Amino acid sequence: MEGRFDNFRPRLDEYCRGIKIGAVMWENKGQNIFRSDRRAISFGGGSVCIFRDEGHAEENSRLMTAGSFEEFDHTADAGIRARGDTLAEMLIAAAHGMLQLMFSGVPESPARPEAPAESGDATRHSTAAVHEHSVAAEADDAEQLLHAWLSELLFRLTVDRSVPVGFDVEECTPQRIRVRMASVPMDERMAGAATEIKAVTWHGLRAEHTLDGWIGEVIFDT
Amino acid sequence: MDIQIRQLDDTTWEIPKTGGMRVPGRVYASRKMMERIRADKSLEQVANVAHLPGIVKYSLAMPDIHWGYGFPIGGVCATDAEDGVISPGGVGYDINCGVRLLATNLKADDVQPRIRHLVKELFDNVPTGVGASKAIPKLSRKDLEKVAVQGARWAAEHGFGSTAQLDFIEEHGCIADADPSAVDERPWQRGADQLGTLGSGNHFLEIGRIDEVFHPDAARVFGLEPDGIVILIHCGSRGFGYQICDDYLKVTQQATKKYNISIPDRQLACAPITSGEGQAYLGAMRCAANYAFANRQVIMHLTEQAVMKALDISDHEAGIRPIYDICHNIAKFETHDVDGARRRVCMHRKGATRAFGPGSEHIPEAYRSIGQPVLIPGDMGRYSYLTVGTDRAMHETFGSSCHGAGRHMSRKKALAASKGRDMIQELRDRGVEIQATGKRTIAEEMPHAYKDVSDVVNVMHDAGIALKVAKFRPIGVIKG
Repeated sequence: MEGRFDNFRPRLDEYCRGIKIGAVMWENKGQNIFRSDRRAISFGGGSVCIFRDEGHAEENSRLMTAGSFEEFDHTADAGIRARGDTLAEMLIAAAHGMLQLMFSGVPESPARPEAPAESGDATRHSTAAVHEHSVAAEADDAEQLLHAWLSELLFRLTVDRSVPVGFDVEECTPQRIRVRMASVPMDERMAGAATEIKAVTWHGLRAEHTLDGWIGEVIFDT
Repeated sequence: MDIQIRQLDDTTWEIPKTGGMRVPGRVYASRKMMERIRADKSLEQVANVAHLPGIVKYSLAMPDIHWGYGFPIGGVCATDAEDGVISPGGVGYDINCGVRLLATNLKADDVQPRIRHLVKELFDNVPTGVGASKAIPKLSRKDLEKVAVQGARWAAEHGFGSTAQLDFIEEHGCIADADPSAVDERPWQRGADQLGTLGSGNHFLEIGRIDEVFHPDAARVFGLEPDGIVILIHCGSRGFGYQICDDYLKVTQQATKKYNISIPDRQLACAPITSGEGQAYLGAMRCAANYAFANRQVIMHLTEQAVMKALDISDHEAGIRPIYDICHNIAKFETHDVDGARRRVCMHRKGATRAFGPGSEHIPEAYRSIGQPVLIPGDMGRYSYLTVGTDRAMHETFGSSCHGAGRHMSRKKALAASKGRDMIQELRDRGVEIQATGKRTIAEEMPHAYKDVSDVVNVMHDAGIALKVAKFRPIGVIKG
């Protein structure tokens, strides 16, 4: 697999072998949230990594900035509050929040078999599952962009039946975002166990640049 | 916004017409329920709906009211068919989310010993979450358009049940004048492989035991006896409907500005019914409604197959048949008596159910002496109800009633409250066998996250809007 995420292939492969609910690549300032030996994902409000094309993983980890998200209360549905130093970080954090809502209830399943050793590249079997694609969204302002971006992601996820595992933001302004993504197929078990998000609502929608960076709030109809 | 409300009688409250409200608000609730209702923004939403142009008589709310998007869940409003507006928020994302109640020939004693096996069989056959349909391979655009226009009839004519069952569905399982050309590209993509799927969240398929009969005459008409087994299916129009609503919220947001409609909340975005935008939404919404009717028709068939296999019985022995199928998120044209004159209105019911009284030509002939069945699912641990519509409902609520229990605890709080608890075992201890792939969903849908549906149903009964017929206890549930 040649592509934007080649530099992260070893880590991607490690995750892919253990994928149960999609491997979301997180690094929380050096502390892995995804632990491949547990073969499980734990989604939680945490830092989000934005990958760059150049350099290798250790150096890129120093480029990480602290986007984060948390869930907030809403009687019938689910709300996410996302933060980031930049608009891009906030939007990616919001995306991770949406993924958490969808997939955090998926239980672990038995480990997948290892790739055959004689393949010459033990990772080939698993990385074949990862495909790269671009997602873009446009809007009149940052608030509408938050809605458009998450709606686009939701649409792609449900129609393509794939789970994003990596995000590389190529362009981000309050009117447009373009992201190169790595995604893995959503298998039947994962699909069946996912919490369906019907829509990104306009209710309480917020995207604001404050003294502490960007903050976004969105409520999903579940 | 501090909402003034005054009590009219034990079950009825009024929000007086003030400010930009065109009509008063009317809420059905007990005094105890009203304390809770006041705590969120639902009353404000009832008052906001009263601002809509062309609204007739009052902005209504049923006792299961809770905070929604623009319109409260449990909200009902009628707008004049000529001068009024239509609002996608008054229908909801899950267009024609509704309930189908099935009667069977089975008794609780037949089923209880094999309930775990039956639940597993159902779970294996009816996809949940965002899973794709097992019953129907991905439909072509052409076939999807037929589903959108024909509704449940399409399913019945393609091997899922029979056309004789269509009489026992609201609107005979198809709302006329659906317009596939009003549906954009994305809904077709989202809906292509979801016919025959349940979804997740508060959607479910439940095996219930008839626990109590309140109205023996009605129960006899519907074919129900104590300890009999019924089946409830709760789901809607899947991604097809969600995407249509999403698309038209944007259209009506623009239309609200274009037609200079003043609304207190942007989620009440609307368009004049007679405008191009209004007609387009109606055409698209009907497509989604018909998809949902077809969906429940397919799931009914899958349910029948699972029951026959799990219990090793024939279809004749199972005797599965629809009692009725109702919408609880819909907008459609009806004619009602308003101040002594017959008036055609666009009924918006969002988390509310049609409840037509005896004699109505719109209900099956077999039921006209009794009234329209109104299916009120509760939470998965307690009970559900069958009620019937009344003449009083026709006069007071445009023939509308509540739709379910309504949440009173947020999903986050429900998750927190379930930490460290084995919810599956707790439900088993209550006599409910559940299978769900999502642990999160079980926790979020825990019984105490919901109001007690008995309270809701009793208000409707005491108000004379929908009379209790029977109560069912769940013994088996599948959820996404």
